[in-house]
Amino acid sequence: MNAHTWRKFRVLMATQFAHMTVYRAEIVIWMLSGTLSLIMGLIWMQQASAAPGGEIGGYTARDFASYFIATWGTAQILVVWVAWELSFDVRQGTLSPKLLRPIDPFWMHYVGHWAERIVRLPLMFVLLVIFAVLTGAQYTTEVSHWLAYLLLVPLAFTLRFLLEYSIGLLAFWFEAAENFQELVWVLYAALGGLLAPLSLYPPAVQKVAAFTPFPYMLGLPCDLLTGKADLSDALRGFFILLAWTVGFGLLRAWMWKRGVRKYGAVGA
Amino acid sequence: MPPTSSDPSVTVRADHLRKAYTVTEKEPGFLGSLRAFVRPNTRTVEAVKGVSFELRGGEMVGFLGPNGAGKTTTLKMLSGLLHPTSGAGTVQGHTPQKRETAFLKQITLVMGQKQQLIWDLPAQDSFLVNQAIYEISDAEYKATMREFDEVLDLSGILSKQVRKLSLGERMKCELAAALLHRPKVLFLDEPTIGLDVNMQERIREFVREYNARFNATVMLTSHYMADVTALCQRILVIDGGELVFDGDLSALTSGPDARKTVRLQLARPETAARLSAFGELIRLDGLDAELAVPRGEVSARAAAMLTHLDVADLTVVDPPIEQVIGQLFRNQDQRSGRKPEPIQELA
Amino acid sequence: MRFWKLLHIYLTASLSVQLAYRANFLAAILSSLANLATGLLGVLLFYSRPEIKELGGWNLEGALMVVGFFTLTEGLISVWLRPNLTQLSEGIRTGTLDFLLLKPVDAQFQLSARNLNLLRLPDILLGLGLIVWAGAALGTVTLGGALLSAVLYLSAVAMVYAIWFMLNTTAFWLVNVQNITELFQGVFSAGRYPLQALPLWIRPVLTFVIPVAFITTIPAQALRGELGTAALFSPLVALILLAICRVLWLRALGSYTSASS
Repeated sequence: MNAHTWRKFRVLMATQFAHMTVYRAEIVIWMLSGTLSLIMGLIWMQQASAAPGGEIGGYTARDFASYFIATWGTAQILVVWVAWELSFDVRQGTLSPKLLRPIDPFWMHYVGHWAERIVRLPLMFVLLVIFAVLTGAQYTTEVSHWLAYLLLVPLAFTLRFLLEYSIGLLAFWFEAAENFQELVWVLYAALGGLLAPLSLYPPAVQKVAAFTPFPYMLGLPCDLLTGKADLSDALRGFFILLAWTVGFGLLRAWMWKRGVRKYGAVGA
Repeated sequence: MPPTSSDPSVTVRADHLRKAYTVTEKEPGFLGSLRAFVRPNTRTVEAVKGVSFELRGGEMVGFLGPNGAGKTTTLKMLSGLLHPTSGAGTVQGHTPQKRETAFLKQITLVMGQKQQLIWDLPAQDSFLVNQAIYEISDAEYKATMREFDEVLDLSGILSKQVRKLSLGERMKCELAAALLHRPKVLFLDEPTIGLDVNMQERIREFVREYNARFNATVMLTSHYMADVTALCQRILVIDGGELVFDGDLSALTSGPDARKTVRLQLARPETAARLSAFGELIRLDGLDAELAVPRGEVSARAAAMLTHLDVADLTVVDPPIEQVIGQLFRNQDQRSGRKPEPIQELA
Repeated sequence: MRFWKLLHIYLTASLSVQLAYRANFLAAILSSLANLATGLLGVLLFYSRPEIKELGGWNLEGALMVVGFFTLTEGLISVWLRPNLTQLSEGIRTGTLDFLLLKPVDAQFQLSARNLNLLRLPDILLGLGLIVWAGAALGTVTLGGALLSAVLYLSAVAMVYAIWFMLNTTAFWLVNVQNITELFQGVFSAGRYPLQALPLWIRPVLTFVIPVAFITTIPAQALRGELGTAALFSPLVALILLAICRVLWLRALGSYTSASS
């Protein structure tokens, strides 16, 4: 990395961090609004307590608590809103000043998301600890699993970012393109394991899910932490995510080139 | 004149630039909305109809025309934001729409409404971002900031959040940020709009200094005659998407047809007929009147007005740009016997 | 009768604006489907497990009824409450609220009726459809139960209106109201599922702190033919919330107009 590139990264990160800090109150609220996995967790826990044998599909109430707290935390790390930002830029014409500068706007958005994540982290840890203590959640003590988690999740985030970015770029061709993102979110939540651990899904659905990147983005890292997945699963998941990431990276670059041309033809 | 692609002193060239849009039309009322939903009507609007000109390094050119004439569209085509429907633009030897890094580092486009400063942070932070993006060394950055500060006076503003700055302070910072990378070609779209007279002066001085210091080509659009007379030697006038005048500013301000506006505040009401004896009556509103008077006769006519009319106050001002241009068309048409074209409105 | 004429004008104006954007039509349908899918998938997932016969005493059809009421309420929020009440924060921010206040029509009425996002109508239809389907599948719905359910749901709608209006009134003091309403949506999404599916300790919170249970579970219970004592409180809670809402609004308006700007 040459000096210029390092400086660009450093300055963008510092600026975006300062920017996100201005919005820290909003970030807290966004964090607290993401309740789906918590609600599902509560219901599964209740059902497990009431079920014969105190477990459902091998998960006790405590297992469910551990899983859903992990899903909540991981989903917080994977939050992406770039589709909305891109759509806004294209519609309002605020993309134009960005096109005049010799840098792909992609980097501003990407670094911005990471900066927001750092602002989010402290409170997130506190809440995770509180949730875990209140419910008696249990996690693996294998350090290798935690390292695998730290390797998978940033990659999963980058994949999610590229996916959402591509959806946002549809704004060049369709108005209100970011609404496609809502359907994709349902797929992500359902097939990623936000609604329940994937092993509890009907087998047919599990087979379909394996063809999407979602289980490896959310369910797999969480299973690693709860001890229900092992390192060979992690390795497999890593390469699958990598393949998807490269694919979407190429797609995004291609859509961006075509999109800018369209933007220039229609109106800036 | 056929464009000479090998002339190195030409920094900006427009070669029959044309831009056409498709717009949808809707009939009024609820049924109209329903119909437009199911089967929208479209028509083509030509915003720019084949504009050609050449600018040389160091030239400062005023780009004038009524609203909707195609000024902003032309600037956007030359900066690479819009792709021409036909024709070609060349800036510093590059094709704008390719948006090559080398090209982007040499130009800047400043648009009134669209800003690049980060709203919630101090302007200083946006400057640092630009420094990083344009790969400006620390030494050059410091030197540039020092020079800019001398003319613009940025003291105390740089550490305040942009959202808290006044319009004038914000414009100063926007300009500084836009010129930080010392571009050689400047496209300025209404840079002084909404600013008070002092701030307008300062911005003008800044642009003039920048042009002198860096020998930059400047293309400036404005609604204020003062901007144009202060900065530009040459003007291009565009109307209805077509270039109707390319020549010296003096043709507008000091030619035989040049006029000044005399504003009168009368102590006693006068009839329109009586006032018309002193010049072309533009406006009569109770005790306020405006008359257009040939430039060379301003003193004589003003003296006559003061003698023969009961005047409380008399000021002589430049006519608004629209009037000057309008006058230009009327003269041209009178000479060529052509009827003026209606101004195209962009939907 | 002026109000009815005004309502008619507001309706056609809203529709005209929205027809201008065909893409928004498609987008709204996608959004509706996405929301419904989230609700249905969750419920179906529970019942797909052999270990789960009933969720807290609710069978599948009953649970779907609750999802139906939830979707219906989300639809009402999208069509009626959100587009209208964001006028308030927008109006304060841009200063256009003053124009509204100058008109000879009650400001709260204007803010509550002027904008309708009819593109989100599918949400309402889907919700109603689900309720009717689940009710028919259940087979034990009586006319009395249906009427009672309707009354309890109207009461629920009044509660949602009052809460949303109060949340938006904070626009007078806070810059960004959207965050507060997002927070409410986050808690409200628990209303997708029957209250009894959730652990015991959270049920009082979802009944007395934030009346989610009154909005989705209780009307569904009435439709099922069961009625707990809590249901009797529903109209009372609604009236109290509406009263607080009106008082808060008048107070806020009073301090806004008396402040010089």
